[in-house]
Amino acid sequence: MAEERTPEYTEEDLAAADAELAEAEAESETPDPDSEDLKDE
Amino acid sequence: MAPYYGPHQSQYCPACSSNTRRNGCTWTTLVNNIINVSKGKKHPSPDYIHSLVRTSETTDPRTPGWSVPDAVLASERYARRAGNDALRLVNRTDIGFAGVHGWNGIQLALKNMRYVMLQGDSDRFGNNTCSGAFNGNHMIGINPRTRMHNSRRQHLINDPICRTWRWEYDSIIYSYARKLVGTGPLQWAASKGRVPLVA
Repeated sequence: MAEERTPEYTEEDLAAADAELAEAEAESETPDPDSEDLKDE
Repeated sequence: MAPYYGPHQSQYCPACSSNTRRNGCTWTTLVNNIINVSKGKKHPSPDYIHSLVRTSETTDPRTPGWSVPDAVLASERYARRAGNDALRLVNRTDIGFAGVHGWNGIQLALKNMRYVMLQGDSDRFGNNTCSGAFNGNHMIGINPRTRMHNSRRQHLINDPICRTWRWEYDSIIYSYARKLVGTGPLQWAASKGRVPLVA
């Protein structure tokens, strides 16, 4: 059965989510150096 | 080259138990992690993964669902049996990302080709998507594969209540994760091994 693979949101919904994410990123810090192991197995 | 994505495992598969159908979003997402990191070479059933951790060993035996630490424990046991340490999960909740509540860490993990398991509140997903059929505490898997759509970045996700993978906007994924925990740390884990790159 076919199933959509791309969600559709209103522009208002996306704008609100974008703003929430932008606020979080503005408050974000660089990941701790201890987390460098994410780069290497 | 782009990250491999394998066949999607749904918690509503015909062979899935009633427990997996009702409560199995986390252990089913662990199956999707294993499929993607092993490049499809490993595909255990959700109920097999669930059998790896006794209820008494879970972080909250009073509830049927699993937390991130329960999934990590199951992944360690599966990886040991499979002889492949890359199939382990690492709990990244609030570890090394105190100031960012995890989002930068999630982006770093995905950038470095890790598969991410992320808890959230699924009522943030649009009701016109397969994910919209359920609202509440949930777990999804995020593949490192991305695309741009409507000038916004999306990641390929495995929502276990869906019949197949789908794309989701990064900002919606963040909103899903944030709603569950408020101002607390995002609840997530990343694969120890990388999702392989394919042509």
